[in-house]
Amino acid sequence: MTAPERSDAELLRAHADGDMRAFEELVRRHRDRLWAVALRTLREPEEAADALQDALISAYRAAGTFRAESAVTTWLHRIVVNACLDRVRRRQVRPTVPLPDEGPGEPADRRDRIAERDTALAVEEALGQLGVDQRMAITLVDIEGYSVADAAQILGVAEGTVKSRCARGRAKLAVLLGDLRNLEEPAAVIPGPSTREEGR
Amino acid sequence: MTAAPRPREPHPALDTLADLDAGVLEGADAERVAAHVGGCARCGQVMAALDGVRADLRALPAPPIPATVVTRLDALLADLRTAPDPTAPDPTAPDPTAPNPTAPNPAPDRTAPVAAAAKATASRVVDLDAVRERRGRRLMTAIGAAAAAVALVAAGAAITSLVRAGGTGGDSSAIGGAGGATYQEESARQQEDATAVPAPASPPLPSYDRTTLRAVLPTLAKAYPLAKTAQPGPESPAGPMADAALRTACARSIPGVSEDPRTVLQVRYGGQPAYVFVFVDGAGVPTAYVVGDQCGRAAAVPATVLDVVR
Repeated sequence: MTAPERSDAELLRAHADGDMRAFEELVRRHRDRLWAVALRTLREPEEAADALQDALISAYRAAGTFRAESAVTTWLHRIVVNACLDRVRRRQVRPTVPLPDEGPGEPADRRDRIAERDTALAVEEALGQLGVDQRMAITLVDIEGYSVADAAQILGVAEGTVKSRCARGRAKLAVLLGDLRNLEEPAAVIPGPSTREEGR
Repeated sequence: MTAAPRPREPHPALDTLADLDAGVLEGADAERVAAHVGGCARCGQVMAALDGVRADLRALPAPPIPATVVTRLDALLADLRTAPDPTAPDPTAPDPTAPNPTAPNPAPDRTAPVAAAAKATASRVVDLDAVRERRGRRLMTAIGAAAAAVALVAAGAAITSLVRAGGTGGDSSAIGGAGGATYQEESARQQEDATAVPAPASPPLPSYDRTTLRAVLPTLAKAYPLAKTAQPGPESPAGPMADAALRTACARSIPGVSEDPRTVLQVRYGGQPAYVFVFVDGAGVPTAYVVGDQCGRAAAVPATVLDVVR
């Protein structure tokens, strides 16, 4: 009979208490999701790997500071997100890896290209054209399935900000993916309410 | 106030509809836009499209973590498990979940003193497959992330470039390191820790890997300023790179680098003889380029970038 699987919190506590294997088990349990968030945030595998490494070193050392107010996965994701944002800031200072510079426009040939491609690849490509704030919010809420409240905790912003970033990101994606091509009438006239915070 | 939809009422903006869809709109704004959507086929299509976007996002497959990254993380974890001070659980470590808009990295080990970090680990973490993978990936600057993730598996070519000049080292004295440890003391201590490769020459070289180099990087340039590091001499921390012409030629051969290094150290990296060139950008962020020990040996011998650590 095998021992019952330890919870995330138990593993983290065991690590803080000196269990040499507990942290490894915790990382193995969650590394796929952490990797997905890092890669979708940074869009560059090497940067994502570096960010994940930075985050794991931070988490390893700071395990004793974890408080059970949030889930361990939320805590880990927040550390990864912080590591990714650090790298985004550095890229802005010294852009060694250029981000895609295409805007959210919708040229016809682009629509055609998207139409020819596998949907998942098209969605991934469109995601890459969003700003990092919108992309991170959408990654957490729409892809990883976190609640708005958890995503807000991971990103360190208000829930309304997460909602707003998701909304504007989805709108851009709808345009980029060509989902609005066949509308009966041209676009919008009613001015919207004042826009909420868009940047970080 | 609720406004009934009118036949010719203008449509809300796409962002407004997306806000409604996401629950951002409140009160009268929400009621007004919702009322319009309820009687407008076009805006109904937009809302359906937003639903479709969410469905597409939910259906996205998780990107598989590359085997090389798994290997690298496993090596890191094994290294953390065996490393003493700098990476051990630290109850006083800063909260890495706290927003940190100014510091380049939340990792607390970046502030570890050189002498402490130098004791951290032996030289077994470096995953040369990952290094080769990174080198290959840097060649694909125009390829998107998805394509790169596939292509990097096959890309193994080293970043190379021609060195314009050659040279040899000179002579001089050692300098003091951070925390009171001299360069020789630190080197000797690290050499004791290095298990994989025997010391090839005198003086013994400090041994680094990605983890330990990352840990000491913020302090390297300060601990070993070039003015002292590059003093020619058999015990110079820069080794043959104490020669200015050789050092400059090697530095210029590193892709994307045009400035002068803040410091240069002759080291063993992952068991291999190498040099660490540290550059600091305008924001004060250091970057270490680890290059092969043949860098600058002769004009026809290309330099190889073994790793880049930030």
